[in-house]
Amino acid sequence: MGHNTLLAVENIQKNFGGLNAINKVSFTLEEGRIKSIIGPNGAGKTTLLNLIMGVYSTEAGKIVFQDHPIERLKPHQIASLGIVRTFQTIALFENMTVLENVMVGRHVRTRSGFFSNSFLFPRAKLEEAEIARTAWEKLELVGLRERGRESASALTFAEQRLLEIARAMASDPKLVLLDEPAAGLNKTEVKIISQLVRTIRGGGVTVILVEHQMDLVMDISDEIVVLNYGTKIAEGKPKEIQNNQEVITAYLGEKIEVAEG
Amino acid sequence: MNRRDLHPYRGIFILLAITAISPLFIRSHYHINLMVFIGMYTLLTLGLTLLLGYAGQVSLGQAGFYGIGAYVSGILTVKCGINPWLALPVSILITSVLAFFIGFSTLHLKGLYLAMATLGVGIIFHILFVELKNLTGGAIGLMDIPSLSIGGIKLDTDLKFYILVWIIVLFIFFLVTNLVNSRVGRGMRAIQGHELASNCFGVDPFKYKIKVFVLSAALASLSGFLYAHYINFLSPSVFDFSFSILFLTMTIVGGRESIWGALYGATLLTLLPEFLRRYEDLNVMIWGLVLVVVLIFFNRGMAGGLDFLSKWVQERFKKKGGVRIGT
Repeated sequence: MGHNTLLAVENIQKNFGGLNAINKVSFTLEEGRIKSIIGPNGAGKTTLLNLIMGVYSTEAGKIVFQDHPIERLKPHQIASLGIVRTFQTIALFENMTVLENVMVGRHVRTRSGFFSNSFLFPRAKLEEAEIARTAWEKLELVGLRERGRESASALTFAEQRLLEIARAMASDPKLVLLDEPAAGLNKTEVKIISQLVRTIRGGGVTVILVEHQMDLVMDISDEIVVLNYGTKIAEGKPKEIQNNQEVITAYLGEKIEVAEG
Repeated sequence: MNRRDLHPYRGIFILLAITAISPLFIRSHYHINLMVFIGMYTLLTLGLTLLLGYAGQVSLGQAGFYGIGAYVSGILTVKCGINPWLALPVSILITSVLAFFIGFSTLHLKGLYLAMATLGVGIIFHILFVELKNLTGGAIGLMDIPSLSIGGIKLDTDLKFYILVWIIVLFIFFLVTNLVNSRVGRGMRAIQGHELASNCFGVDPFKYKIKVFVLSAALASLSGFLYAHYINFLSPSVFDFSFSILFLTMTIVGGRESIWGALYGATLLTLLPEFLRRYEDLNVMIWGLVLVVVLIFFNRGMAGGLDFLSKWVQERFKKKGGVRIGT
């Protein structure tokens, strides 16, 4: 393995009934990189994220994060190691305010429990102040500070995507899994997301990006993994992927021509 | 930020004022007695509000925990001659341990399945209250449960007990207010909002559900303890499953998304049957109608309704160029 390997996925496997959703996929991810996972619909991209996050358990293979094997851990345990995700189908806590959503993102970095919070132990109060401060900072980062007191369900679609990112960043993650953060957004909004992903990486955070918007992927990725029918068919730098014949036939063809044309 | 620091206790101060002033105007034993019941039911409903409204889990077995709290303390004081104040922690502990094991085995179920499982647990407890005749006195009941006393003062009048109950209610509201405005409270609501997302952000939903379930059972137990030493007599009929339904109704009609909903629901559903008594046969119909109307117009319950009204009033004031009030 290379130096500063943050995440190593080795030969992982996942079946749903008879369907081979993920078939012996391996890749490694170095610290501070942006790695994109692309592929046609149903290629297994979101399943791969769910396997890394512990939402599904792998049937074979290993996932190693900073020397910890994580393939048997539950999502909250994986979150506490520093991996966090956003959701393709927006999964905000709609019963809470914008600010509170981000505050939940801080859950994994804080400890105070039922008792210390009920009785207002100083430790709990300090933690609470710290949670609020961090949450406001992250809202500032994505430009939603003004909306903090509103209900999360009152946000526009694009704002909800930004809130997903703010909530993820509130945990001070080492690795962020972004599941189609630009899906359904217009060109201007995609630019904002693109800028935001760069800012996140600039802060030393490693990113795995699942995305269909090829402009965005080719623009910001350091490396790309291409999945098709649950199998990795290519891996490389954006330029290499654009010229990979197998990838073009599987999926990219026209879009690359448009992007270059 | 400062405003938020002061804000949470506003409701507690208002409640303190109301409960402190009420006895000056309300003298009849009958009315004080009703207010004692409102206090006891508020405690119990508060636990259910946390469970249902915050963590999103239903329980149809709360009357069982209410009964355990009452019977454990009743039996310890009557049969073993133990001081009630020593019996209190024992009964809360026993209820909590039972709730832990019940929660551990049922809380992986969701929605209706969880409702059915907890309903079954409540029914089992009720059968035990009836059948363990040596301990509980069976259907005849457990008699001569001692009243509480504090510092030599016997709490043998409605008014004295009223003071005790509402001091406890206020204190518990203080604790629960702190709890729901903390990371723990947000963790609970996150489970209800999106369980998978909450899990991915570090909340362990199963552990949280068990803790809230135990907390709700402990509050039911505390309420049962107060009941036992207020009425001085226990009969299984007040711990049957229709009471579990009543408590759940209090939670929902009161407004499950706010801890104050517990107070509103307990108040309305304790007073309503008393008001309706004069209408004899019609009272069940009117009772049903009131519940339906509340839930149709305020699907977030009375707390949601009040929230809506106060916002509406504020809007009106703003439009007329008046001073903006409140939040």
